[in-house]
Parts: sequence; structure tokens; C-alpha cells
Amino acid sequence: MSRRASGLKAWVFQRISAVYLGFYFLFLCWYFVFSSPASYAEWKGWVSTPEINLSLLFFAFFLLLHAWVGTRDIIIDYIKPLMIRVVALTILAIVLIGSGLWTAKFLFLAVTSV
Amino acid sequence: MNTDSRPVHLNLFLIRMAIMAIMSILHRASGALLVLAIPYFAYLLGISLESEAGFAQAVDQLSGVFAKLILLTLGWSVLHHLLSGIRFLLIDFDIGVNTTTARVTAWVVTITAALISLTAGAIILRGAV
Repeated sequence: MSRRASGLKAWVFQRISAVYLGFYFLFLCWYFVFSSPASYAEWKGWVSTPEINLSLLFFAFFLLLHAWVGTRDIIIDYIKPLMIRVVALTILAIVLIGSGLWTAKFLFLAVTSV
Repeated sequence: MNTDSRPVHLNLFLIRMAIMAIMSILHRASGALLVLAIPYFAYLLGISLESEAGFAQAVDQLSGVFAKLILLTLGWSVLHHLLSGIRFLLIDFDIGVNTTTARVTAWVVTITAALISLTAGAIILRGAV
């Protein structure tokens, strides 16, 4: 029961995060194509805008969630031996959480150190 | 019924896959590629925000022909992943489920992503060479 619930939850997460990621990705493309930052000050200024900073943080969070569910599915589908599967999932989790913490740190510093 | 003598084809090169299957596999493959790129882009975001020199370094790393080829591969990945993802979401909402429509939309997704990427690639490489 709880396993089915977690499967359904993952399925729902995957779709909700996909919608946010899809729209935000288009927004990022629009930004980089039409008002691409020419200097460090401009880039940092954009990232430290409160709504941009927060929406980027959400983007990073949803991206990692989406990546976790998708890659977890791939690993579970193709890696059968339990030990190797656990190792692969652990490495994935460490890499994703590490990337997330790193990103959150610099997004936070961009706002606080203006 | 004797099922032992049935042919078992698990060799992917012997299976003639429908375009929906190919599109779906590419959805996975592109997703996996994008996941591999996550740590690198997190790193780039970090150094580009840290200092003026880091920003210059990040810009520098993204120029160059090799970097552009990688960006192009990732660009195709994100495009294919996004388009086939939209198709999967529509199918979740019962839109485009029947075989004929699903086959057409799978072709549209695969070809659109490939064509846009090839065009972008031609433009980028022409500018870079």
C-alpha cells in the first residue's frame, strides 16, 4: 500500500514539476536570447532580484526532484542486482543533493551580498 | 500449449520498433544526458555568481567549438525531452491516445527536435569556424 502510494506520488511529482520546468525553461530561453547578461554586474543584478532569485530556487528544486524520479526509474529498470542498485541510487542522491546545496548557497549569497 | 518454441527476440537490433517506442527511448536518453549535465551547470552558476573572474571563466568555458557541440547536444536533449514530455502529458489527459494520432505526434516530436537542433548546429558551427 505505502509502496503504491509512493509510486503514485512520484508520478504526480514528475508531472507537476514538469509543467513548472517547461514554462520556466522557456522563460530562461527568452531571457538568454533577448536580454543576455553582458557583464557580471548585470548577471548578478538579475539573479539577485527577489522574484527571480526565488523562482530560480524553485526551478532548481523542481529540477532535482524531476531528475531524481526519472533517473530512479531508469536505475530500477536496468540495474537488477540490489547492491549495485543501492550504490547507484546513493551516488545519484549525493550528486543531486550536492548540486542543490551548491546552487542554493550561491543563489542565497547573490541576494545577501549585494 | 507449448510456448517453449516461440521465438524470443530480445536483441534490440532485431526488433522493428514503432516510432512511439523510439521517441520514448529518446525521452529517457535525453533525460539521462540532462541529469549528467546538472552538476556542471550548478558549478557554472556558482562560479559565475561568485566573482567577476568567475563570471569571465564561465563565459569562457561556454565558448569554443567543443563546448558549443556539447551545448548543442544538450539543446537537442532538452528540446526532445520537452516536446515528448508535452506529448506524454497530453496522453495522460486522454488527448492523442489512439494509435494513428500517437504515431503522427511521435513523428512530429522526433523530427521537430532533430530539425531545430540541426539548424541551430549549422548556424552555430558556421559562426564558429
